[in-house]
Amino acid sequence: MKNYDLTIHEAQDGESFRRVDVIGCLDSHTVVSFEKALHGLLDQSVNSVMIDLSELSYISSAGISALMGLTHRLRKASGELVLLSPTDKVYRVFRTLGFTNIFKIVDSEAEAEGIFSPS
Amino acid sequence: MSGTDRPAPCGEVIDLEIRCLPDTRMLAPVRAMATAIAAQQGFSPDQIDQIEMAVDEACANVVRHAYRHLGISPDLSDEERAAIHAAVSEGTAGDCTIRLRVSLAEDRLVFQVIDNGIGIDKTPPGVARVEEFVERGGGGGLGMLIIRNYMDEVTYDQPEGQGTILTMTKYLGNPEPTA
Repeated sequence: MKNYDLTIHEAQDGESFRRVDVIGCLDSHTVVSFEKALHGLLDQSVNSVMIDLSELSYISSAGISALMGLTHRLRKASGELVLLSPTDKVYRVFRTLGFTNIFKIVDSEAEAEGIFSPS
Repeated sequence: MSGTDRPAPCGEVIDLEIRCLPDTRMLAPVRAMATAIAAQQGFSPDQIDQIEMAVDEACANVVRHAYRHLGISPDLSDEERAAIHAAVSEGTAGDCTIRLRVSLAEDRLVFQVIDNGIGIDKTPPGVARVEEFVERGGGGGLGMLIIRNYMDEVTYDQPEGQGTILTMTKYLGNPEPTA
């Protein structure tokens, strides 16, 4: 698995959110690049973001802090950050620290869509 | 659990020590080393993850706080990074390495993260609760909370005129931490 890679997908027709894939590690080294990319996206008035964590092998406090900052900023703009399918290892970190009640974590894109566009 | 409740280590104690540059690029190889040692000692997968994270947070704190005067940051150019590495390696910046000392005993694993940097306050920085971190919308301080939650014993020593020695102990067979 790569140490770090990030892809911001173009907005698809009918999609109410932007999808971001992050691969590898989110630690004190890679988080600067991650935050720069994500805050750049939010600067474009994007306020619904889904980050796919299914290939994130490691997250440190720096990564959690970045996700918390993004969540905070999006909620202030009446938006939301949704985390899709974190790996078991990353989910355990969220769970033991108490972040599963704070972050919106989903298992499918359909579930994310329900959060971004509640019927 | 109090350290005084613990029996003395039994069996052979093996020490090893590495030095690394105070650079966030070093965090991934340091984590790999910590996880390999923890696995070899027989810790569970969850405990290995906790040790990995605690060692990572401790070393990241040294780069971020103890050696902040060096100006190491992830977005430095290769040239800027090489200049700082050279100053540290040649000693012109003083002894600014991170020493990671590991003691392996039958019932425990002890990691010491030692620096010669700017001493931090006797009470290490960090948020007391996750709620505090959430209310602030992130920021720093979560690393120390993670270290305290994930390791069984954590002590700070700041010998006169030196940097900081962070000692983190994990015992085999302890229950999993809770939030």
